Amino acid sequence: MALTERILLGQYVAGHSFWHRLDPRAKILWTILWMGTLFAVSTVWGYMAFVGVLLLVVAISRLPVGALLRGVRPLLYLIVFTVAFNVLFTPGVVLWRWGFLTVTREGLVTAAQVTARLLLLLTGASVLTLTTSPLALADGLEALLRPGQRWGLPAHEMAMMMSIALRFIPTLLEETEKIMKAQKARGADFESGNLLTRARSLIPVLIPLFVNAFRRADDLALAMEARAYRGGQGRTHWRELQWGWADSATLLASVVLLLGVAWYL
Amino acid sequence: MRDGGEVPSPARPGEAAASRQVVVRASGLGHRYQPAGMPPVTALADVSFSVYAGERVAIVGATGSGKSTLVQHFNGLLTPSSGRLEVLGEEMTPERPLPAARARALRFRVGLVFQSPEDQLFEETVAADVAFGPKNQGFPPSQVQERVDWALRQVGLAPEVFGRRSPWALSGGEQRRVALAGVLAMQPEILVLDEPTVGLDPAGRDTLIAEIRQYQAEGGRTVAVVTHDMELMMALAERVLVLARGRLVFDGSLSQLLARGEEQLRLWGLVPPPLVRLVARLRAAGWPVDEGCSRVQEVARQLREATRRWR
Ligand SMILES: Nc1ncnc2c1ncn2[C@@H]1O[C@H](COP(=O)(O)OP(=O)(O)OP(=O)(O)O)[C@@H](O)[C@H]1O
Ligand SMILES: [Mg+2]
Repeated sequence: MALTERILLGQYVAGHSFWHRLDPRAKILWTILWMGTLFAVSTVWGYMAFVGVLLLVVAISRLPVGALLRGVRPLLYLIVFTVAFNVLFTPGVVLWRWGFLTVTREGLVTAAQVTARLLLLLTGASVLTLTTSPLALADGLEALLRPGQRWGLPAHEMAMMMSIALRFIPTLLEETEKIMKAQKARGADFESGNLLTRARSLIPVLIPLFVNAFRRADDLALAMEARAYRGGQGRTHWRELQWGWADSATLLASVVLLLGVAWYL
Repeated sequence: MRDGGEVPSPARPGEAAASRQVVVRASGLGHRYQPAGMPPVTALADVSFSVYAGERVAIVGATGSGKSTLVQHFNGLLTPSSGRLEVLGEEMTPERPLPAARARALRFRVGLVFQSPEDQLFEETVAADVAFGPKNQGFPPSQVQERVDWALRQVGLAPEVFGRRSPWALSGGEQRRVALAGVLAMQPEILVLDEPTVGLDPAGRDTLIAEIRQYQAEGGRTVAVVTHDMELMMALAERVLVLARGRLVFDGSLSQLLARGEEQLRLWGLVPPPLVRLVARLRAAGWPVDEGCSRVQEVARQLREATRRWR
């Protein structure tokens, strides 16, 4: 299957749902809250509650659930690896033994926990990028970082770098796919051999990818220069961010809910 | 003045069908893309046609009509989502995609030159880059060397001069030719090119067309070219497939296509070349010129004849 069919991260799905229309600052704060509280959860009920909240948010934002899950697929290897590692190497009550391999009850529990955490973390974070356009995301981030400018934090530049990076993720994926296909057309083989051969087989993909990325960066810099781009100083926005009661209410409800879950469950 | 070496094309696919072998056969071919988080895109639907050995086929159509998707099936890079495709005896269906090893073998027999192929150059020297394909084919070094030299000469680059240079130190047109050589070096039976002339100047384009024709003519090889470039189509193709929104809307000879007239071509997203518009005007003004004339010399001859008759 093609890369662009698997990787969801950094892709915006346009829409007009309540969640789409929330202030990007509220959504960024929500995501930070989500990640923070997620690590405080340790019980089955806690995870269930988080799944419930996630489903609610997905329903509100009217995102296709299937697509959201498909986006998790690239993480599958990582999950399988961590699960195997945890199952096999956590000491505790032995449930099953085969040679030097032992499966413990504690191992199974930790593995399930890690999996749930990774999945919730990734899907929760992709809700942000799926419902917020890169432009809004950058504006929101910049606004949140602005207080730091007093201590020399380059808020605007950081936000711009992030939005450019996000903007180019799909482009780079497409490009990777095209180059892989082109090298396959000349008989490149990415699928067989041991790890080393496979890694080496990527050289014909990585080199043109980097060369093109640098050229593109050059072009972009030139284009920005040509438009007399001078960074954030005195720059105005076409669309000002507007924090409304809906943003406060959503954030407040989430703080109460998620902190409550993390604390009590 | 004589009609300098212009051979009228056989131009009737039906005629060729009887005598020649089928190399590509699509039956009800369809392809759907499934981008993550977005609705599926039907890029091809119910496309059926055959290509015969030794033919020169142009695949044309508006942007997004599915041309690139179609040709990426020819060498097994994409698998049909519906229907069936046979290429050089290999069969692909959604239920039975080509096994990886067979697909790889097919890629050496169906050479695909991608759009802007200069973006894939990666080796330190031109010769090493062109050698990538033949090396993957498993040829011993001496034969690889032979093929590299042959392919570079084929695209008009002297191996002694260009072989040792870095691909990044070449002009865009030279890079394009190196990329073409990289595919020619595999000596595929079918050569497929996706938009080979985009971004070339007229002289570069003419050279490229001549090189493609030479490769094709040498051994009666088959060439399929995807293009927006009507001049390229007229210079290279004897047969044309027109795609519109993923469907095959025309399959016939070049002159049959041109005979459809400017209006129809525009509906398919094709801008008729000046010659076709000239013929249309001449006919409108009452000149007895054949609709579907694809060569300047031919138009000139018919005009000469007409004036002679009037005198
Ligand atoms: N990897 C992909 N994922 C999703 N959709 C795709 C993908 N590749 C192509 N498409 C879509 O499929 C359709 C056909 O694309 P294709 O590239 O085959 O068109 P084309 O005729 O080659 O166009 P062009 O002349 O612009 O190159 C388009 O609508 C395109 O957006
Ligand atoms: Mg294309």
